[in-house]
Amino acid sequence: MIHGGAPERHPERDLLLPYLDGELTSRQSRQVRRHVRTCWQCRAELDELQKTVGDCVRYHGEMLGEAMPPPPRPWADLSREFARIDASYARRPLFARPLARWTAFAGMAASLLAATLTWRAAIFRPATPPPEAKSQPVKASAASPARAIPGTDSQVLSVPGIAVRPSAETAPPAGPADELPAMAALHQLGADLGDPVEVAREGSQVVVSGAGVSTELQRRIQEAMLSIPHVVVRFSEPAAPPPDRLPGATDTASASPANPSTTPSRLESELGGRAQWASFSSQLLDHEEAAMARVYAVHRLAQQFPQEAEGRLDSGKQQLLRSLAREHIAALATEVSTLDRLAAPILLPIASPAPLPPRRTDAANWQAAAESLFQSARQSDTVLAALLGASAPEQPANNLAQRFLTALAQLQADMQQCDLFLTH
Amino acid sequence: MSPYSIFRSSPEGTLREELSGAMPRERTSKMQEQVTRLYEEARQDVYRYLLTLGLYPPQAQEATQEVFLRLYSTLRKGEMIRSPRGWIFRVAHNLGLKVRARQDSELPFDLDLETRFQSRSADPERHFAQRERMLRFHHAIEGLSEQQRRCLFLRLEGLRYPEIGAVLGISPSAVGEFLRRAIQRLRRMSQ
Repeated sequence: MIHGGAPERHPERDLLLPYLDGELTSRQSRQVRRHVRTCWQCRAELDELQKTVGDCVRYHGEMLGEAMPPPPRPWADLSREFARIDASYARRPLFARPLARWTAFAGMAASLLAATLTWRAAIFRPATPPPEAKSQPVKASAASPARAIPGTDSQVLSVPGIAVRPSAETAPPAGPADELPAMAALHQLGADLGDPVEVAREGSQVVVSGAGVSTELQRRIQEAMLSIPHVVVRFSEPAAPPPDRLPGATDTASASPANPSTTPSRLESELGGRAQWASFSSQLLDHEEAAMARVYAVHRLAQQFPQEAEGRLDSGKQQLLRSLAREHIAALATEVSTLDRLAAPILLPIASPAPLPPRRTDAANWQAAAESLFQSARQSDTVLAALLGASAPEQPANNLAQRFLTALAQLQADMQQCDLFLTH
Repeated sequence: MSPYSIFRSSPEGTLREELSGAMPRERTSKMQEQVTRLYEEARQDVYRYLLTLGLYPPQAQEATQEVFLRLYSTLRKGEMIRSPRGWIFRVAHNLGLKVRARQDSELPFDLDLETRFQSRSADPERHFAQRERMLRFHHAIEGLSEQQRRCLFLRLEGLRYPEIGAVLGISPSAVGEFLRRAIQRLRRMSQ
């Protein structure tokens, strides 16, 4: 074709349809447009293409559109199905994350459905408790078979060869010393790290209860509790909260989307893109959750065994209690160290002013130190959520990086203090 | 703001919901509203596409409704959908193939468009000419390869090349090539 007196190459024929469809890059599109403006042949080719596209559109409208058989029934209203889907999600996320599990558990415990399975270990416990049950941590035992009573929803545990007495009503109230073996057994199963399992005293019994616990974990807990005196195990399924009372809904309903100028967006660009940001956030959240599970576990031990209660335990149980707490602290130290390793290189350059040194907390014992640890962990958790854009910050969103690193340093200091008390 | 803004929800929103394990009610309401709007706008197109895949009308209608419920469920999980229409046709295509596989013992639904088609023209001569032309084009379409026909139908539903490629599991350039050949062939056969 002649263009301005000089021959110009036709664009490749393959490009004409993508050109019409707007699928070329702007540069390619410009080149084709410039060429077609002056080339009759290519313009005619484009016209032909347009005509066939027009035929296709008519075919689509008239043949496929009008001649198609109509739907046999009126279209369904999907709103009822939406509600069903919502209900399934309302149930599902309740235990989606360890932190949510624990916070949800307190409210849910009150709404436990009628016990579906009750192990009445205390009713038929040995007249003389086996000596090892007094001071040793309980080991899971499958040796003692459970027997179901026909026509009841309970199962009665009997220990073969050992005399039993109905002692629930006459026995003295259960104390912290009775709880500790149950808690140690849960610890051995790893069921004290976010699973919705609770240990509480009820009269002369220690009740291990849970809602929404997996069948396998239920079985393992039941086995582990077989040889522990005074223990009753109750599991039930959680009732689904109404859709407008979802756990956490009130916390997040007012949270506004992250402002582009806030830290999350800034971090995303610092990290080099959305994928990197997602990976970074996900890692921080995973380790934060693991850390929080440990903090909650230590805090719970401290609450259930305050200094006076610990003082009443024999030395074996005191050692057991402290070894449980120290195990959690050791695991927490690993998680916090990983968090620091992940976050510091990214956040330090944008933390302004520099992170503050940890303040000194005057704890008198490990229980008080665990309380400080709990508070600083919650602070770091809150700031991290805001930092990652996962919740609206309670305070202005600036300095989130600095505040998170400060909170992390405080968490480390409180953790060390708690460990120090536990060791000595 | 785009009418489908809910489909481009920010990852921050997703994180927030994931962290709390809940989704604010106002957000689910908005999501339902938008999915319902899209359902009303696009269900006929999806149904038509599923019929062209060989599904019988009751199954095509059921599958169409299922597609939009899956869309809602996916959004409810906090996933981000950049191109809702492309997503809908991708899911519809895959679901349609599964339904077709289950009804393998039966013949694919025969659209019998030749019998059903009525020209819009009131003038008998014009009506006849229009009908002839349309049927010739229909035969030309039937002469396309399956991939060419799929690409063409999806393009006619408004999907872009990358979206068509995602539906069919081929590259956008392969889509361009199938479409180019389809158009060329239709031109030749309908002349």
